[in-house]
Amino acid sequence: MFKSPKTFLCILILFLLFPEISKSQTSDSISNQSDSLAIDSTKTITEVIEYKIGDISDGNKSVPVHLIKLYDYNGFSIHKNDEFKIPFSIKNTCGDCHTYDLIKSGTHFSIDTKDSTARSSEPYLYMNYRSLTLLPLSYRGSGGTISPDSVGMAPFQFLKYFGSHITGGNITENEEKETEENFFRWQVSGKLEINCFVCHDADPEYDQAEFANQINHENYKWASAASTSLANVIGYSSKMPDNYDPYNSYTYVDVDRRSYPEPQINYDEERFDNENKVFFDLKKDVDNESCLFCHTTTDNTTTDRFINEQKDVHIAAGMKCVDCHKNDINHKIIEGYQNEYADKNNEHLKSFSCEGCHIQAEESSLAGRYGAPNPLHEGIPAIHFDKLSCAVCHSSFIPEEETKMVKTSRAHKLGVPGPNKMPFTFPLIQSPVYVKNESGKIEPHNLVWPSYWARKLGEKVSPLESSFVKANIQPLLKLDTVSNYGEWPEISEEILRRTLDTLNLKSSDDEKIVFISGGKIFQLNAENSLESESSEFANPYTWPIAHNVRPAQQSLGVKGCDDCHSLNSDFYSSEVKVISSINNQSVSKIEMTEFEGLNKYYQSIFSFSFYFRPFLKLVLLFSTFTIILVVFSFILSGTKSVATYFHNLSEQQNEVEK
Amino acid sequence: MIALVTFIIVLFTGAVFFRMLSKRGIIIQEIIETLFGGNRKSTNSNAFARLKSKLLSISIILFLLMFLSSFLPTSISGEFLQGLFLIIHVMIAPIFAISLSLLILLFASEFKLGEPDYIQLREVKTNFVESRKAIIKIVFWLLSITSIPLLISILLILYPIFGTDLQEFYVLIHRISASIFTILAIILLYLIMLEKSLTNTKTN
Repeated sequence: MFKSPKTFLCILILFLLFPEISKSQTSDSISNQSDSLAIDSTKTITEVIEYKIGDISDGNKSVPVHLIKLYDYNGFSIHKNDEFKIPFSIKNTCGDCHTYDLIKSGTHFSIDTKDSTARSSEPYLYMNYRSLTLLPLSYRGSGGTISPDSVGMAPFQFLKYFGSHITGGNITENEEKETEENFFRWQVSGKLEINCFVCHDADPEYDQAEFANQINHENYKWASAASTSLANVIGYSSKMPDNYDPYNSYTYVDVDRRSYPEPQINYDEERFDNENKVFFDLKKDVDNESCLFCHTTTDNTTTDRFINEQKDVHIAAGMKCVDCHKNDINHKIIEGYQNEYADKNNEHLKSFSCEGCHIQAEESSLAGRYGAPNPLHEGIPAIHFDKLSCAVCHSSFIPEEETKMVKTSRAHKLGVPGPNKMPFTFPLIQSPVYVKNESGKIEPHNLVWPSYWARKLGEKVSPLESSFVKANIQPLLKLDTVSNYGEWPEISEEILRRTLDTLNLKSSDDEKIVFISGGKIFQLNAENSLESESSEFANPYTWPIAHNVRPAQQSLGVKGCDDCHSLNSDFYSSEVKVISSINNQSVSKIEMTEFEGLNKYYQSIFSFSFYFRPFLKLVLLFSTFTIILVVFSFILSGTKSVATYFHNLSEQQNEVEK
Repeated sequence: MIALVTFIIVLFTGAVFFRMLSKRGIIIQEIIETLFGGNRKSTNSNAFARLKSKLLSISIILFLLMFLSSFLPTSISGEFLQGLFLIIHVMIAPIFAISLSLLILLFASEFKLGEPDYIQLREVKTNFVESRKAIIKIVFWLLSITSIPLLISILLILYPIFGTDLQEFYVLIHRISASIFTILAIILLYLIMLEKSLTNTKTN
């Protein structure tokens, strides 16, 4: 084929250096019925993207009717009379008109992408009561989180554990992320493509809890279809063997099919028309309830939630989450924090923060939309806006003597079948905790204390793999999860010492097994006794919150400076509980000023000075009044002198004339 | 930035007048003695005069503290006054306000402008030295007038009447008033020292 080895070598080098040559040809062939448009999707780089018919609106405000054909994972059309029913593929069905790969880059579908901003976000909290493990996991790599890969959690397990609140389309279908040991399980369960219905299905029968149920059964391929009102899915992929073949019943002959039938889907045949098209009631503007399924934060101690719980003031005013958290076809959702425009290098995002909408500044051209009032902030000096984010005074819960315990959808599996509804169900998430953010402003955060077993090599601490913990630590701890259902168990220092002692026997000389909990790292010293110290690896993990926004009358500062600047102000002195797995450690509390990065004594002195404010006002009033009185009386007197001078002057001139 | 520029202007003004005084042979010790009593104790047997002298000394010390606690940190950091400096500034402020108002009240009569002053002022261009007394009086009254926005601006900030934008405006007023007040205080000091120097020369 090649005339000389030199030619071959040259071509090989060219291909190695420019692999895009071959790739671009493949991607070009993806779309067939499209318009080619130049769109500045991130407002920074201009890309030429192949758009499909459903990607760009023609400007009509009505919602297009989605009477569409269903396609399976191989791209074949699904008919109502098909003998063997298979789930429809969203990639092929929705992807017929919408560019799937473009949407896939969206915020919700790229949980496995490293975050370019320094901003933290809610982690996936992995818990194992029996090994006292509570890990803030994230693929995005924000500071304080742990990568699932580093604890040996493969995407398959990650999806099974957290899939109830995952929209699909990332690690759940990325073949590069597959591990060898889960290869066959992926073949049985199928991939979880983006579930567009999570947000866009307007059908009241759409059931996200059913989606979660299917994830639990490892029916990943069936989950999206099962959540719609079009289909009904039964069966358990999780119970099927590795060599499961749906077309060959001999492969699962050993499974008790009365208890655990193979995955099967049934479509509502009446919904298919003569052309085998199905109508889906889809909406462009997502309802709040769809967002809240995954983004709920609720006070877990409120028993009278019926009375006390409030809506976000924007929601109460009739707005939708997506009015602010907008996105383009690329589904990159606007987060709405103040510096997002700088982080994402997009000036337009200035208008989508609290300030951008409410403050009539020159650079935010869209201020005032949706009738956003321009706040005067009477009596609030400007320094507050340099030091605090808007959310401090306006969002989350009003600070109390102790931080509140809250539940979140993702951490507590809210909205799915069988959650523990007890108030103090783990993980214990505390809110609001006022923390300095990446731009130096204080903002309210949620906080969780990690608890895990780790390997310490020199100064480096890395968490132990979950399989190792299950096999080696769980049997040593012998913790019963039934007697304290939902509550976090604690162990004594002696049990911890013995466990660490046993584990250290198995580890090499230069590494130690340590336990991290309640902000401390526990390890055995040379004398084999337990010692603990603070460590950056044990720091609590916090992530910012901006909702629910309270009404203006419930803002901090509305009752005066005393709301924060008083000696016992909860904004400074509210206590954050240290949640530890060691039974005498959980009693300690940390004052809020530590998280705020402020000096406690200075704040006390500063707050104390506010007691003299009335005196200061009185003195200033008296002094000002005195000075005004003196100045004006002498001005009057001076006027008299001037008048006298002119009078004398005129008389002198008269005398001279005479 | 504005604070830094103002601070530099104030320091420059101070340096210029100090240089002018030193050219006339007035050393810093003399300035301190004039301002903080010094030999005045012996000369002024009048209790009221002593009170005035003490009040002036206190006011000057307080003014210096107020100046340092506000101009210095804001010029360096470029931010709003905050932290320990703010506490010091706010703690001294009421005492300074009282002493300033009393000072104006007690010295007002002494610096009352009259017909002879107007005559002196007409010759200011030709004979500055002779018209200095009138100028001192004018500077005193300018200083008194400047202290009104200086105090009112901060008084209005203390009440939750105005929004943040207006508060920022009042802070600006306070800063400008404070700068003018400081410059006028330096000029007044210079003129008083000049007056003293000329009086001493005449006596000798």
